[in-house]
Amino acid sequence: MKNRLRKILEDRIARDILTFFYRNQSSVDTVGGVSSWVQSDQKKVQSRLEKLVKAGVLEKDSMGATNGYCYTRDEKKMKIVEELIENV
Amino acid sequence: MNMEEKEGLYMERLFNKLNENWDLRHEISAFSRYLKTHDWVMLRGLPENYKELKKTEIVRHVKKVIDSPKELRKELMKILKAVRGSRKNRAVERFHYGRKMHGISYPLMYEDVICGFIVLCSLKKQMSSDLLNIFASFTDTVIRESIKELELEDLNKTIRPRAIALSTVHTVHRLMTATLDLSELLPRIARLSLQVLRANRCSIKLVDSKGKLLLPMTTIDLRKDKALLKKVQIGKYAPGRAVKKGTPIRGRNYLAVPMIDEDVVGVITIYDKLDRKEFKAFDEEIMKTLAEQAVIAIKNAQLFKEQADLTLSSIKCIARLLENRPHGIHRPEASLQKLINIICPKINMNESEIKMLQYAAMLHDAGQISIPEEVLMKRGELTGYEYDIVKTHPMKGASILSKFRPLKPIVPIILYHHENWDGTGYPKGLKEREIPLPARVLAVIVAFEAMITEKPYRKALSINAAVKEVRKNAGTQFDPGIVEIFYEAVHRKDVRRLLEKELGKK
Repeated sequence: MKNRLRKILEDRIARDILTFFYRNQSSVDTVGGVSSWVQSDQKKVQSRLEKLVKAGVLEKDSMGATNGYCYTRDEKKMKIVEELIENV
Repeated sequence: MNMEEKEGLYMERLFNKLNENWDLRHEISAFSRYLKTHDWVMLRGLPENYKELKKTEIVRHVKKVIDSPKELRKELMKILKAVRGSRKNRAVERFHYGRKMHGISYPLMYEDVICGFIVLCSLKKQMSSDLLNIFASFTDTVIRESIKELELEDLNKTIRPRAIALSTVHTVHRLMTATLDLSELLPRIARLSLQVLRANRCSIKLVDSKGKLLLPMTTIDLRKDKALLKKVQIGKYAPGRAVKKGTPIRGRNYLAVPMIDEDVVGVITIYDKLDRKEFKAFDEEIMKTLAEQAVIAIKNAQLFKEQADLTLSSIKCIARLLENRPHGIHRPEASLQKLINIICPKINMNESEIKMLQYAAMLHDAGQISIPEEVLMKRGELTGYEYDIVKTHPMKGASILSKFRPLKPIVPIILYHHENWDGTGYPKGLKEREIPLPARVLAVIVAFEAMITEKPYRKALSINAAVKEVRKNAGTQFDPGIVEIFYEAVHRKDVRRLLEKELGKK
């Protein structure tokens, strides 16, 4: 998982998104919200969010047309993210 | 922290900012090149005495031209005097040391408060007043810029987290209000609360109708697959006390927040933070906001359920009235609903479409209310005129039900459920896929129902004979695809048992 995540984090937008959630772990936000925090295009942010959800470090809560993204609550995954973000 | 300490801290931040400011470094470096010296030092504060000054970088620069310790002390004292002078006068102070070395001390100031000094040493000649003015003016500009940067940093530190929290609250609100199904809503509220508070367990309890007990509705524990659901008496334990007092109850590892509309509706209790820290006032504030949103969503869902129950009761009431007419039949309602539940997901109908079809199945003959009893009860063959009257019942039923707003979606189902796949049906003579999908399903269901139930003017067919008859008419009267799915469904053991039970025969 760590290597896969490291590969995803080579992308600046993905790195900014994960850093945002790592630093604001209580946050639950939409694609639009996350785009404004990382100051990137919504479409690009959407695809990175999905990648990070697939990698298991973000969670997605969907209801109708509303998707809320938030940080993982899995302690092992949180530790891996911490290592990767702090060592960048 | 008192004002003085705060100011001290701010000045330290400003000094650090200036110390790492690239514009200031470039400025000093440009001056250094021009003045042919690179010996400059930034002092955070004023050295109290010679001993303290000796610890600074200034000593290294002065030692380049002074050997004897006695001389060194003397020269350093001169510099100390100049730094003190620049503090006192709030202005640049020149000094010289050794035989022909010069220097300046410039105070770094913000609103008359000094946060440090720039001390330039090893100048071969005295700096001119013009040059000093340029130096001072540029340095002051850098100080002003640094102050702006600090202000922005402070703004960012205070506003950004609040903006992020506000955005979270907004997203949570959207997620909560997007569902009106209480069984889906409550676990969602629990999950979102856990996410926002970064905790391990959340339990939601609602006040019972007597207002004495808290009924457990949902509990999510990230550490366990299953969680215990316990009733709690109002007034007992943290959730019970929070409800009784109508205010949050906070302990080291729990936080119970009542959900208040006009009265207390229930309570959300959060336990054990992921980082094992204690719940704080900020958590309480956030949870209060979430509870306010939750109660609106819960109330909406409860109202929606009441409305849906009312609609269903009305439908059942109309269905009973129809059954009790002289030509009415005892319908195997549960079996037909089960058949609908099995068939519809296989043809990709969603939950709300299925519910509407179930309503339509109960009311499909509502239009017969306007057809004379003697026609409906007639034992022999109907005349052409009588048959024309019977054929009006889908239109009449659709017209009656269209007046009842919640049932609008079933109007086309009722209207077209006597259309045939080959276009020979009524009222419009639609064919194949022109007929709405739910109406095609209902056509099969009601035909089957009509055959297996006894009418005053004819006996019922057996289940097998009715199924055979439906199959025989696949592709003419009925959609053949739906007949195939119906055929599989009606042969399921559970469906068969239910049908036999409801029809009272083997």
